[in-house]
Amino acid sequence: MQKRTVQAARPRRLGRILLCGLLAAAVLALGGWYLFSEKLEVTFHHLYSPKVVGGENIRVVVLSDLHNREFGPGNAELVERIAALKPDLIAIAGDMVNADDGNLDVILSLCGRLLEIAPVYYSPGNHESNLMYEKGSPLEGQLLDLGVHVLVNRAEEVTVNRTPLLIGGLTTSTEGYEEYGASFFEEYEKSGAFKLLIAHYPSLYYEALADGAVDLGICGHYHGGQFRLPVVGGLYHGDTGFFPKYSGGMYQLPNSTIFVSRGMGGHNGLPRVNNRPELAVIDINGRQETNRGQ
Amino acid sequence: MIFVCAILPVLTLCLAVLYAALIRRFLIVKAKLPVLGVRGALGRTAGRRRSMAALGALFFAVCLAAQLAADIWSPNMLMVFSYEEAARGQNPNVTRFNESNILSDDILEQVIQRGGLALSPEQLSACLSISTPLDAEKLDVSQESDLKISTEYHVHCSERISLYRTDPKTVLNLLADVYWENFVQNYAENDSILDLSFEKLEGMEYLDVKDYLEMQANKLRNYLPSYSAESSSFRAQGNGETFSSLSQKISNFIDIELERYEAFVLENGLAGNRTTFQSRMQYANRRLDVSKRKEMASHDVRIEAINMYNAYMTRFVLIPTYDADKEFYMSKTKVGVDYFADEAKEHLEFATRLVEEMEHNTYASGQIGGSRAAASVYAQADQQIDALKAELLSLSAQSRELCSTYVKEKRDGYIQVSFTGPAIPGIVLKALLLTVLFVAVLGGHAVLAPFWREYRSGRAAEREGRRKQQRREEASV
Repeated sequence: MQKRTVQAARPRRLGRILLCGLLAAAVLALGGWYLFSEKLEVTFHHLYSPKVVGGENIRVVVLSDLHNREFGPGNAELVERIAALKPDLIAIAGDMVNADDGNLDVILSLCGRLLEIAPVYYSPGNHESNLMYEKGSPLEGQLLDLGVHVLVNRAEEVTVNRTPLLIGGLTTSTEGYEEYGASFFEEYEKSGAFKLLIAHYPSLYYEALADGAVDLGICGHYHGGQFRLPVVGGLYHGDTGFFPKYSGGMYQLPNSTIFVSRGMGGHNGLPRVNNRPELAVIDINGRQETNRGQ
Repeated sequence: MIFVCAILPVLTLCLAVLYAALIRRFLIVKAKLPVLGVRGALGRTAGRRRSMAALGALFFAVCLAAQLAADIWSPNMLMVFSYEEAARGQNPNVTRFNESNILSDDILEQVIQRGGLALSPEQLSACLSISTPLDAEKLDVSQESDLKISTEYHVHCSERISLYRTDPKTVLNLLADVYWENFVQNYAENDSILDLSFEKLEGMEYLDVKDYLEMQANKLRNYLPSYSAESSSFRAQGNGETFSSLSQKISNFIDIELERYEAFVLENGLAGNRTTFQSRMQYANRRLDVSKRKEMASHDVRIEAINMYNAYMTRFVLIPTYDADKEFYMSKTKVGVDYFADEAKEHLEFATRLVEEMEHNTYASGQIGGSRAAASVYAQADQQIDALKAELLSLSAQSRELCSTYVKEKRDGYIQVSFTGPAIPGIVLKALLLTVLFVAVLGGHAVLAPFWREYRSGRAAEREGRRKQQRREEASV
């Protein structure tokens, strides 16, 4: 009798184990799909500025660190998403190419299509600088021929929806700032227009530009810290080590607001964990946000 | 994140199932449940208290974390309308404020378009809800003092919005932006009149340039007094300008700079196309002459009518009346002849102005016809036009700066938007309540467990006995 009970309990236990195993596998698969997702994510950010005229809105779409990656054939998906967002200008914060393969087709074709949507302002990152200044790549000339505003330690004035903007590009790294970027930034900072500064390296805001007066600084480079932890943010980047100070999102500095893009691709072969490729949209307008509800 | 938001409802559902099971067991075993036995069973749960406390703590932590995460992810948006007219239910431009505009189809369509969202306005509308702090109050509409107008609105976006690949805070932010823009453009100050355009100046005659610039300058001058009346002492921080000082600058531009330019053009007889200009002046004078003759005819008719009046009828009448200070005085009434006299005067004045204009045209036509101005004079005139344009643009920029500074102070405060953070005490209380319920149901199950086991074994034995009897009956057959 006891033997029969034990025999009957065995397949029941096996069934339970199988069910638990299936559940665990489903949870793991779901978690893995969520954490390792490489689907493009559109993130929206709001910036209040008293410099924006009237009730107008200025929409900036930010692209960075594409590293020759393609979303859809010929980046069709990326272009389609950007076109649907109807930006007033497109800011590219560098590292759209890879220094080691020298392939410019992806970025040139992308920029050509982006220019049909809005003016494109491009500040090169370390990969472009490596190609242009060390390997003699004709990237800058080809981008200029297309009509892209390539900003290498210089700025351009533009009026968007009646608001005058001074869009600058600071290409230098922290080490080369004093030599190549300081004089440009000192002059740039004096402007009374809305200052939008595209600088690839967020580390510039650690010290060199920490007290600088920039209405909106746009950066990339850190790839969101590769692994993103809830609440904490990015985990690691080679330049800063663990927990980079500005790894992704909007940051309020004493005299500036900066946005650090998580980027859209990668170059080191490491997977992006809980860190989907980011297409950032920044809406700049005169709507003030208070913390009354907190 | 939708999964995290679902944790609390799932746990609540589990609690309900556990309570249902407990009630079922209680109803089944209640006949065999002696009061002393329950007391003894309560004593026997002592060994399980530690594991129950651990399970309770885990339950509390999960409830708290899930609710906290859901509240952070899906906050409420508070819109406060803090301009003076809001309390009267009006927009800043004194039109009627309509609460339903916040979630109107037009606004929702713009939100969808701006966010590139993959849902219809109806679906978005189903995810959004709006409430005011007054909704909870019972109002007596028969009493006027009870009729309050809310200036605060809470907008909530349901977690269901994540089914459309977006999140509540993004949608609320887009909604706030779109509504704010619409509000400022439709219901607040509009300074687009300060945008000057000089496109039409291309190819315009030199004398017409003066009229065109004068029209543009008048646009600026007419825009400023409305603000001047609101706050005459308001001063721009940078240059210390006030509305009246800027208005005076524009008047000087019209009366001095433009007049000087006109004098230069007339003196030198400058024209882009001399023949066309002279023909135009001739045509203008012919039309002005017709108008002048009409005015003079109207004047003459009224004079004739006055002469026809009988002297007796032209006597005025004095009527006793009161003035504003309630002082008694004799008011002199106007009679028909007085009106005729006023009208005749108006017609004559207008005809005089027309004559002046015709004389000006004739003079300009003569000057231009006899002009032998050199190219350098034309270049000088072009330079003057550029200088006048630059000055007008500078005046426009100053006006915009002054008005913007003044309006910005008001406009920034029109709508204050904030996102409500999680209400920690409420969340803790809710989690505690659920935990107490959870521990209670666990305790209930523990208390009933021996009676339930006894009931189950009794039933099993009963079933076994029945089966044995059945087998015995089958064997006997």
